[in-house]
Order: sequence, then C-alpha cells, then structure tokens
Amino acid sequence: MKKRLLSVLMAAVMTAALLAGCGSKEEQQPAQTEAPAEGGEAEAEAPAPEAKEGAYKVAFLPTDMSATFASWLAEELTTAFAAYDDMELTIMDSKNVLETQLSNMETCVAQGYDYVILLPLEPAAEDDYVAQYIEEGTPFMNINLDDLGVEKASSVIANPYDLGTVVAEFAKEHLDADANVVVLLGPSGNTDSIERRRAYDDVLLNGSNITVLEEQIGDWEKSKGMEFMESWMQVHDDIDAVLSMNDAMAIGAIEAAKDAGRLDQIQFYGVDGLADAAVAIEQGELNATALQDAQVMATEAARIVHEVLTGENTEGYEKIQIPVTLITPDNVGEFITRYTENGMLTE
Amino acid sequence: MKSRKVDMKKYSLILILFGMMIVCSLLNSSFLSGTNLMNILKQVSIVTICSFAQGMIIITGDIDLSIGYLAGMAGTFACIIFVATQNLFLAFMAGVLIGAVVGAVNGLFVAYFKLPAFIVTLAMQTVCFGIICRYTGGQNVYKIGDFKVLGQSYIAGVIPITVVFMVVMFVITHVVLKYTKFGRYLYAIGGNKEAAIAAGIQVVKVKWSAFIISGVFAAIAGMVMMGRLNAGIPSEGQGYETDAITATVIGGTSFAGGAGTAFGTFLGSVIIGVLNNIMNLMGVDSYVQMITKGFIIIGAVLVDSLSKQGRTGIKIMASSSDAKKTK
Repeated sequence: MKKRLLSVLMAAVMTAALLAGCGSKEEQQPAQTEAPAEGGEAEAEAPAPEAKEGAYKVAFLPTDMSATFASWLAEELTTAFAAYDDMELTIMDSKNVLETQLSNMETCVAQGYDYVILLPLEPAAEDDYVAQYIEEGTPFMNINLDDLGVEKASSVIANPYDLGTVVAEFAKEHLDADANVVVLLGPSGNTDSIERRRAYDDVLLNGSNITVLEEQIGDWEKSKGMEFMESWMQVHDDIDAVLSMNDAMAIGAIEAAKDAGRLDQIQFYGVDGLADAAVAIEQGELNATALQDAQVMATEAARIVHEVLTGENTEGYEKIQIPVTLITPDNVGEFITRYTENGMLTE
Repeated sequence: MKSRKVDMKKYSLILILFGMMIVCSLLNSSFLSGTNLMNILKQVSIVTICSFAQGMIIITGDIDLSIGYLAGMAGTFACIIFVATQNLFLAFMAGVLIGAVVGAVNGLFVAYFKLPAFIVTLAMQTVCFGIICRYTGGQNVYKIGDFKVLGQSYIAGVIPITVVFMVVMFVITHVVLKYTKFGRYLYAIGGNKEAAIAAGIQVVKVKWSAFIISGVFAAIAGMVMMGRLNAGIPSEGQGYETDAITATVIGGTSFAGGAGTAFGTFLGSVIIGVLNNIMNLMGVDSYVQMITKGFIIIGAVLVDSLSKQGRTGIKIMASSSDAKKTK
C-alpha cells in the first residue's frame, strides 16, 4: 500500500510540475542527467534477445513486472515480436514507480530506440512527455491503458469502462432488483478502478433499487478484500453480492465468505480474468469476470509497431480497442485450457 | 520501584485496550460478538508474528525491514514446494529454512560487517521480491490444496489456526526474552552496546542469531498468510514490516533499543486491529481511516518519547536490569 500511495503521490507531484511548467518550454525538458543510472540498471534486467542484425530496436516499458498482468503482457509481447525478423524487443521495468518509468522513457529516446511501447502507470501525467518525444522523432504506443491525450501516439487498449460494463450487465441479469451489495475499489485515483466503478454506476446502480451497503478501497489486494468482507459480514446479514473492481479482492472476499459458511448466499463479481479467477469460476465461487486479453493486445501491438516502422502505416500511428471478454461458468473451460497451456496454471 | 512502574505501563496499555473496546461496543452492536472478536485476532495474527520478530530486533537497537518481503517470498516458495511434493511438513521446513538463510544473510552484513541494518534489510526487500518473482515469472501460485490448513483450519472447531500460531510464537518470544540468557543479551546490547561488549557478551553472535530468528518468524508468518489467502502471492507481505514497527512501538518497545516485551507488542497489535475493525464495521471512509491511523501512530510514538524525556528509567524493563546484573 505504501508503494501505491507513493505512486499516487508521485503522479500528483508530476502533474503539478507539468502544470507549473506549462508556460516555458525549457522546464518541460525532462532532466537528462538522471537517465543513465536508471537505464543501465533496467537494461541489465531485460532478457537478452538473440541479436538480430540491423533490426529495429523496440522497447517495452511495463508498469511492474511483478504484477500478474504486466508480466503476462510482457511474455505475450516477447512471443509476438519473436515472429518478426526485423524487430527486437527489450523490456525495462518501472517497478511501479512513475519516476522510474519517465527515466526509462528518456533512456530509450537517448539510446536511439526506434519505437517505445508504454504500459503507462499514470497516462495523464505522462502524456506531455510522450507528445514531446513523438515530436522529436521517436514513435510511442500506449498499451492497455490510455487516456487518449496524445494525438499521434498509437494506442492498443481494452477500455476499462467496457470491462466494468460487461460484468455489470451480467450482474444485472442475476441480481434481484432490490439487492444489497458491497463494493471493493482499487487504489485511490487508479484509472482502471475509477472507470470500472463508473460502468457499474451507469449499468447497474444508478436509478435502481440496489443498495450499496459498504464501499472501501482494498488496494487490489486479496488480504484486504478478505478483511473487509470478514468485518462486513458481522454488520450485515443481507449481503447479496460483492462487486469488486478486480478479481484478487473478490476472491479474498470469497475466502472470507467460505469461512463464515455464507458462500452460497452471496454472488461475487470481479474484473481481470486471469488464472486465479478462472479457477474460482470453475469451482463455482466467482460468478463472472472480464478479461483484457494480453495475447490479442500483444499481437495487435506488434503488427502496428511493424507497420509504423516499415512505413506501411503512413500516418505513423494507429489507435485500436480490443474487445473485452466476459468469462462466466459457461465459457470458463476454454480459459482454464488456455492458462494451463501457457503455464499460468499448473495441473 | 522500577518494576512497579513497568507494571503500570503494561497496565495502561491494557486499560487503553479495554477503554477502546467499551467505546467500540457502544458505537457498534456487532463489535462484541464472539465471531467478530475472533475475526480481530485472526486479522492481527500474521502482523503480530511479524511484530514479535521486529520487536526482538528493535530491542537490540536495530531494525529489520525485510520482514514483509521475506514473508511473501518464503510463503510463496513453501506453496510451490507443497504443490510439487504434497508434503506439508517438508514445505513448512523449507519455508523455515529460507527464512533462516535470509536472516543469516541480513545478520552477516549487519552483525559481522557492521553495516547499517536499515540499509541492509531495505536492500534485502528487493532481493527477496526479485528472487520469488524471477522464479514465478511474476505470476501467483494457485490451487495450493491442503496448504491452506496453515491459515484456514480450526483447532477444536473454534480456534482459528492463525491465532494458534500467534499464541505459540508469543510464548516462544516471551520465554526467549524473559527467561533466557540470549534474551537478556538482546536487552543488554540494545541498552548499551559498549557495556555489553565489556561484559563479555558476544555481540556479533547474538545479533546474528537475532536476525536468523527474525527471518524464521517472518517465514512462518508468510506461510500462515498464504494459507489464509489460499494462494501463493509474493506481493502480499509488502508493508508488514512497517505495520510490525507500529505495533511494537505502540506496545512500548523503545526505538532506541533495550526495552520492550512480547506482551506489549501483542497488545499494540491488537489495539491496531481493534481500530481497523471498528472503522470497517462503522463504514468509515477509506481516506479518514488513513488519517486516523496515521495520527494514532504519531500519538503512540509521542507517548514513547515523552515517557523517556520526562522520567528516564521508567521504561527500563525488569529483564533489562537483569541484563545489567550480568555485567
């Protein structure tokens, strides 16, 4: 939590700094001096790709390689880029620290990378940098998360609002009109959490007779979801559903409900659709989740990068949204198979 | 005289806790239910085990910031080993071993090479997290099967296993601190290192051992945590080291070293647990919860500081004066 708080704070500071510096161009120049140290460290971590003679150098800057989704996306991107002879991918981790990500961006530009794929920590805070680098000649892509604030940056995203929408629509079909729900949110200020929550409002909650009994920030953590649910079940006998903005917290709440013997009376809804959620749905515990498919995202990203670098794409950028997938007991089997095949699940 | 004041201090923590509980039961009718009180104990048990480890290290005047990450690493590795072997004993012992090894590495640099514990254990955070993430590829470990008995089962059908672990670790810590030579050496080193050396205490060896014990405690906390979560999640331990510091300091352990008890640490942890619980029961806004917790921590440290400035000696524990006798 400390780390996430820090990143939120960092974002605030960066945004403030950007706003303050708006008047003069010079101030917007990122500090070049900090770059080499950070970059050197990050580069050392990147998996050594087989040297491809004269290939385009592409960098992927994930948020945090210890986060399940980011590491999955990195893996899928590595696979997708391996299919191209003339592109080579390097990964530089930002360890969930915005400043590190900004430094990595500088490093990439300074070292002459031909393309930078950014899995942004805080798109709004990074837009100005991205716009400037593009103007200076390095094309950028925002992957997975994008506030669409830079016109000429490519974009491959699964809209967080859509992710919320498909689950909320499914929940609407399965919940009573006067149901009582509790809500678990992601870290304060997190775009994914805010957008998913907004979708729930628009689709399910606004103008309905559904009551939100409790709503707390669970920081995406399973243990927090569990703890909140344990306490809430003491106060409320009539919780019909848990609406969680990610799967980990929903599954934490499931563990708590199991322990209290109330699993059957409560429905659980998450978002993310990774291995843990697939297992929980298969076991009949989680009711539904939505997936942002890293495999599709990676394939599309590699295609766009290649088209831009080879000049096939004359505009120099392309913005696409990949469809989100609702996972329910009906179709969970195919995801179990898939995650077992790609090693995210062991038998 | 001194020991009477010490008793007063313990007594005051208990009074604070009871006072809080009375207020809480008036604020919310669900608070005093058996299940809820058991929930509180369940929720604090993992942090409390970490706090016992942290407490021991702080008593020697050092700090161990690697606890949370080590818990995440050892717990997740134990899950992996259990999934591979289906042998709970083996997995548990492997986890303990990992804890001991990391503790020994901490001790090597802090006790033997005399580097600042703050930096060494801070660096060890990323080492631990890096190792486990390198191994799992950043993915969590699911389907851990019977490993969850370490965190979700009940003894005699009513007492959660996590609470049993906490009580066992409490007894061990209490006995070590109060009734062993090793425990008295810890106080002596934290109270006055030069005097401890002069008294013939092998400071390096004692400190090194303390870090190994801290590592083992953290690993056990990690395994209980993964059992409770029913998954191996490397990132879940993060932040426990600071929660552990908070609990020990509220429990009367002095940051300067040389003072602190297992019982005080336990009370400190429960006080935080009660605070978290009542705020959740009452549906207090997340942001207000953060602010409240922050000020409570400052308040606790203020009390710690004032009691030292005002009347020196008030916080010297019975066992600490025992240690002085060993001179």
